[in-house]
Amino acid sequence: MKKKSILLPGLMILIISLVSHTAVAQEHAKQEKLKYAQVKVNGMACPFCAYGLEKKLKAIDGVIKIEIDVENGVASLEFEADKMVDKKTIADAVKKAGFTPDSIIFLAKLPEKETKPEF
Amino acid sequence: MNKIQILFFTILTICTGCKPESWQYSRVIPLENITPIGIIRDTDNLWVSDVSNNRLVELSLTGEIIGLYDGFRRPMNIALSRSDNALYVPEYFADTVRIFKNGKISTLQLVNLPDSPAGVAVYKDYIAIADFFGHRIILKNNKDEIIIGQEGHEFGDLYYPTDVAFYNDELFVADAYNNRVMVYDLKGNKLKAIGYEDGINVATGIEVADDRVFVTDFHGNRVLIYDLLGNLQQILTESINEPTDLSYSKKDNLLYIANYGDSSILVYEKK
Repeated sequence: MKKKSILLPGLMILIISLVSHTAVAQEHAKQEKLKYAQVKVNGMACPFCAYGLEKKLKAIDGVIKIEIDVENGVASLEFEADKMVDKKTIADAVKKAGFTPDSIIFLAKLPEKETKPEF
Repeated sequence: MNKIQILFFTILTICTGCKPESWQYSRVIPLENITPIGIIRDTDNLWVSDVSNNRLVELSLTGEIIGLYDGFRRPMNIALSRSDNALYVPEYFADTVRIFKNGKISTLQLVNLPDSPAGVAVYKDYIAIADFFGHRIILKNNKDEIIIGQEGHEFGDLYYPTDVAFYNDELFVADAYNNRVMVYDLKGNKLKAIGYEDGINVATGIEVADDRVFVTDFHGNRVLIYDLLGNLQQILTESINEPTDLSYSKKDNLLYIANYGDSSILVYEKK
C-alpha cells in the first residue's frame, strides 16, 4: 500500500514531464521552420519609440533583421536559421522598449509587403 | 523741433519697440531620400541627422547637398559646439556620443553610459545628454558627471527625454512623454516646468535662443514658442508635420524645423 502511494505520484510526474518536454520539443521543431515573427505593438508612434523598439529587438540573440512599420505598429523579425527565440524573450524586449506586445506570431515567411520604409 | 513733434517721435519709437514679435512661415526645403530627425544651423550651412540612412547630411541654406557622412548608428538630435565648430552626434543604437570635427570622428568619453542617447547640447565646459531609456540627463563638466532627473511624472522627474538645450546657465530638457519642458540649473536643481498646460503631445525637440524657448509638439504638429518664464508667445502650425527638432539663427532671425513627417526642413522668419 505504501509502495503504491509513492509510485503513483512519481509515475504521474514522469508522464507530465515527458508530455511537456515533447510539447517544448515540438514547438522548437515547428519554430525551426518558422524563421520570422511579426510583433504587433500598441502605442508605437514617434521615431524615438520606433528606433528604440528596433534597438531592443535587435539585442535578442538570434535576430538578424528587423523592419518596423510605424503606421501599423508592427515589427517584423528574421531569425538565424539555427537559433531558437521564444515568445517570452520577444515580449520582454518589447516591454524594455516601453511597449506592451499585442500579439507575437511566428511565420515561415513574411507576408508580401506594401511599400514600407526599412529601418 | 517743437514739443508736439518730439512727443510724436517718442510715441512712434516706443510703439515700434513694443510691436509684438511674430514668426511667419517662409519656405520649405524638401529632402529626397533623407529622414530628418535632428537639425542644426551652422554659420553658412545646415546639418541634418538622417536617421534611417545612418548618416549626417550637410546642406547649403537653400537645400543643396554639400556632403554625406556615413557610419553613424541612428544619429538623433545633434548639437554644435560653436567654440570649436565640432558637431556632437548622439548615436541612439550604439549608446555613444560621437564628435565630428574636420571630417574626423571621435567618441565622447562617459562614465555613465546612456541607454539610447536621443539629444545632446554643448555649453562652456558642459555637455548634456538626454538618456532616453534611462529617463535622465547625464551632465558632464570636464571629467565630472552628474545625473539629473529620474523616471516619473512629478515635477523634476523625466519620462523619455529626447533633447536638451542650455541658456544663461540653465538646462532645458524636452521631457518628451511628460509633454513639457523641464528646466534645471547646472547643479541639477529643478527650477520650472514649461508647457504642461498647453496640450503638447510628445515634446521631441528644443531650442533656446534670443530669450525664447522653442518646443516641437510631435503629434500636435506644432511648434510652441515661450518666453524664459514659460509664458506662451506664439504657436506655429503652417506646414508643420511631425516636427522633431529645430535650430534658430540669430544672424538672420530664421527658425529651421526638422519636419520628420514630410521629410523636409521648414523655415520660419521672425518679423
